[in-house]
Amino acid sequence: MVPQMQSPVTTGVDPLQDFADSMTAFKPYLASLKQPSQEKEDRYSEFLYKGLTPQILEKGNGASQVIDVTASRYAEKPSRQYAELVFQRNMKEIPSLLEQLKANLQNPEGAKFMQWFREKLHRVWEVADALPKEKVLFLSVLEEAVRAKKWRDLAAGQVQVLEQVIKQTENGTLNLAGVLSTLHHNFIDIYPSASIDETDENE
Amino acid sequence: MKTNNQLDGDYFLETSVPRQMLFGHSLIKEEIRKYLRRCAQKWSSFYVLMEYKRSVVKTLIDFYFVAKEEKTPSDALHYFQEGFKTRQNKIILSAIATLLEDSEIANDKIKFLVKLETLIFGSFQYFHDLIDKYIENRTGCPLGKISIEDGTPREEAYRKFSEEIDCVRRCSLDGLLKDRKGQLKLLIREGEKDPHDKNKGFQEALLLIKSAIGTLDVLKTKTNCMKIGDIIIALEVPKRLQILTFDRGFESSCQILGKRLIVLPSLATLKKSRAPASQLS
Repeated sequence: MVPQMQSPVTTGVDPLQDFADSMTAFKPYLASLKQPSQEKEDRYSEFLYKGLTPQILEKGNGASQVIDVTASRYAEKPSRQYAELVFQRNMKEIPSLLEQLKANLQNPEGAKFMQWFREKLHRVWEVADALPKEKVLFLSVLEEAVRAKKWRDLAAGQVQVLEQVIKQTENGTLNLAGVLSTLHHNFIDIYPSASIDETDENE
Repeated sequence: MKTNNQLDGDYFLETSVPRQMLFGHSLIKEEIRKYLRRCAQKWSSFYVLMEYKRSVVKTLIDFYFVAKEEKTPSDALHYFQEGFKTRQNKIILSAIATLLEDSEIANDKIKFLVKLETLIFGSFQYFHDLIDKYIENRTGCPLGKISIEDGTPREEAYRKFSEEIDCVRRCSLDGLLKDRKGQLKLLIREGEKDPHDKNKGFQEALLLIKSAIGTLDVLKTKTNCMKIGDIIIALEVPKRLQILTFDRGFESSCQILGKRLIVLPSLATLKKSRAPASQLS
């Protein structure tokens, strides 16, 4: 009869554990052996700690070429779901900012709410590549509605209109054409102005 | 809110008004708003709508495709300004140039294209939001009714719009001109007198009408129709409406035909009127 090889099946027990245990006598000797020095520098742990993205140093033809990973990371298109999330989150937060802006149009406090409103729009622009065209155009319209305008130049009614179109777009009751119509009827100018006059023949 | 007694009645907005309202200088925009607040109802015509779509929406669509092809937004602007500068679209190009003062747009072609699409859709929608009523479409021009379809991929819709806005002479312009032959003869006769003989814009159109008065059918071409556009508008507008325009060419035709007219001030005039007294002396 041929004896069968028995292998331990107990989970979590290393089959080589017995052998390793038997080597404990040699541990001081093994520890004295020098480890070969590492060729690669561990840069990732440092960057993770600092919250930065490391640069990869690529060597070739004697010249070092630096590739900025950060740039490539941001060049990647975000997912549609992520972009929608960013859009929705910021659009939900904007009405309260506009509410505070409206209350502070005549004093310096208003400047920061205007600034934060612009920042929210800017955050959505960062993911605009993955948003549907309708939403990108909506974002663009909002940006143009406050382009080159100081908070103190706005009227409370205009801020109110912006707040309403954002709320209604966010809850799906207003489409892009509706947004444009509302802004047009309320004399909110979203178009750039020329520096010349078409009636001037000398231009 | 104004009562009916304080309003100036109904205005007929000529093509230069909505165009300047969108892309004109900020002082011009402000001036138009003053008039629009005073008016009871804003009227226009399908002929004006066609002119607007051709001079504004089509220009923006053409510019969009040029910008897609060119490397940078500035390249597109330079190319367009060199090759396609007309009195009507130079105002749009100047406005777009101010948009490019924002480096974030000037250096980002994708964002610039988004801005152009915003202007295309906005300008298309704008006219319909501005106008309360349309006069009877006596020229039978079908081009004013052309739309940018929803639901089609945007660029496909732009292509279709550009094709359809091109005139194929399916109108009744010849019929209108024949009906108003008496008025055209009056324009020719009175147009030779002072001060109308010095009105350059009016004289250019009048010269064409004079040469075609025997066979008015020849005026029913795309080029001729554009050249006599101001006279077509002046013929179409009912007398009870005041024509609001920036175009001084209307002064002669409206005076001769007995139509009411308001010519809005030019930018130079507005700037002068706002300049402090010390600067004027």
